[in-house]
Amino acid sequence: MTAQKVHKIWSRELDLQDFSDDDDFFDLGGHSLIMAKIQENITKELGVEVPMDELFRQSTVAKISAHINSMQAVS
Amino acid sequence: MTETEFNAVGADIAANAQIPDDISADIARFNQDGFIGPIKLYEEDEAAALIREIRIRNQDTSEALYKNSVNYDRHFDIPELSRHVTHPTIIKYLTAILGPDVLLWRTEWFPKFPGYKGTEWHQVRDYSYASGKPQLLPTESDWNAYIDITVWSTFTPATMETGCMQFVRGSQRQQIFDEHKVTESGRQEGYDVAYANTGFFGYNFSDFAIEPGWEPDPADVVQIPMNPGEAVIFTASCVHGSLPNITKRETRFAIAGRYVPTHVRVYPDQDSFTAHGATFDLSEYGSVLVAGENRYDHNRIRTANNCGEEFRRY
Repeated sequence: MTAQKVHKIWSRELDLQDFSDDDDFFDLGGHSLIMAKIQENITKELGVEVPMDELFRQSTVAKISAHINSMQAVS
Repeated sequence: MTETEFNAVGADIAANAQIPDDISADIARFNQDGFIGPIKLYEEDEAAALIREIRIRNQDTSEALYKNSVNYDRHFDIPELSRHVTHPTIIKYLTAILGPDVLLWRTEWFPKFPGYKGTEWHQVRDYSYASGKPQLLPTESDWNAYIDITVWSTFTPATMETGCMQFVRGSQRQQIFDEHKVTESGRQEGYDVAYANTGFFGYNFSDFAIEPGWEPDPADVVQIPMNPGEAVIFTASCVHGSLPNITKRETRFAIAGRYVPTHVRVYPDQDSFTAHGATFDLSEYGSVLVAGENRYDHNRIRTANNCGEEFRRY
C-alpha cells in the first residue's frame, strides 16, 4: 500500500510512468528540487515527515516505503 | 561498486589517485590558453559514488559553516569534499602554476538541473563583483592572471547537452569585464540562487561588460565536454561560462575548488559578506593550506574540518 502511494508520488514528480520500485532516484533523473516536492507530498498523503537525508539515502521506492512503514510502526 | 568499495574510495582518495608524471606540456598550454583539461581524477564509478554520498550528506547542514542555502565551503562539513580538494593530481597542477605554497580559499557547487539556462560569459579577478569589495588581495606582486586558480571537477557527464563549460581562449590577457562597476542584482539578500532567472546565479554579469554587448570571436571559443571524474583547471580571469542543460533528466553536477598562493589576503578586512542573495558570516572561516608552508599571518588558517578530520597537506 505504502509502496503504491510512494510510486505514484515519484511518478508524478519525476514525470515518469515506466519505472520499477527498485530503480534508483538519481538514475531516473531525480535531484534535490524534485525530492523536496516528493517529501512534501509524502507528508501530505502518508502523514509521515521523512528527513531529506533519509529520502536520498533510501533512494528507491522499495527502500523508502520500507523506511516509512518502520517509522509508522514505531509511532 | 559495492558500499565497501566506495568507502575505500571515499576514505582515501590519495591512495587511489592516478597522478600523471609529466605535466609540463599541460602547464605550457594553460599559460597560453588560460585553462587546461579535461584532467582525470577518478574512475567514472568512483565519481558516481562520491557525488552520491555528497548529495546525501548535503541534506544535513548542521555542521555547515554558513547558515544559508548557497553551498559555499562545504569542505568543512562533508568529509568526501575535504579529501577531494586535496586530491594529489589537483595539487600537482596547482603547485606547478601557483608555486609551492597554496591555500584553498573556497569551494562552490555548480549543479545544472534539466532545463537550466547556460551561465553567461564572465571574467573574475578579485571577486568584487559579488559584494562590491575585493575578496582577494595580493600582497607580493601586482595583479597577474594566476593569483587565483579554479579547479572545476564534474562528477556527472558534462556534455554539450547537459551544460559543459566553455572558455574564450587567451582572454585572461584582456580586461573585458570590470567587476568593480556598480550593480544591484545579486548583491542584496532575497535572491534564491536555485530559482534566480538570471544568467549568473542572481547577477547579470553583462552589467560588468566594459563594452556593452560584447561577444567573443567564435574562433576563440572552446567547449570542454568532460566525463565524470574529470576536472578543468583555469584562471577565472579567462572569460568562461557554460552551455544550458537541454536534457529532460540529466543533472550536471560539478564542484569547484578555488586556490591562491599564500601571499594573497582572503576576504581582506571583512567579517562577513553578502553575495548571491545570502549572507556569509566569516567568524568560523579559514583558508586551508593544501601545499607547502604559510609564511604570512594575514589569513586565518583552518587545519581540520568541522568533523575534526585534518586536511591533507603536501
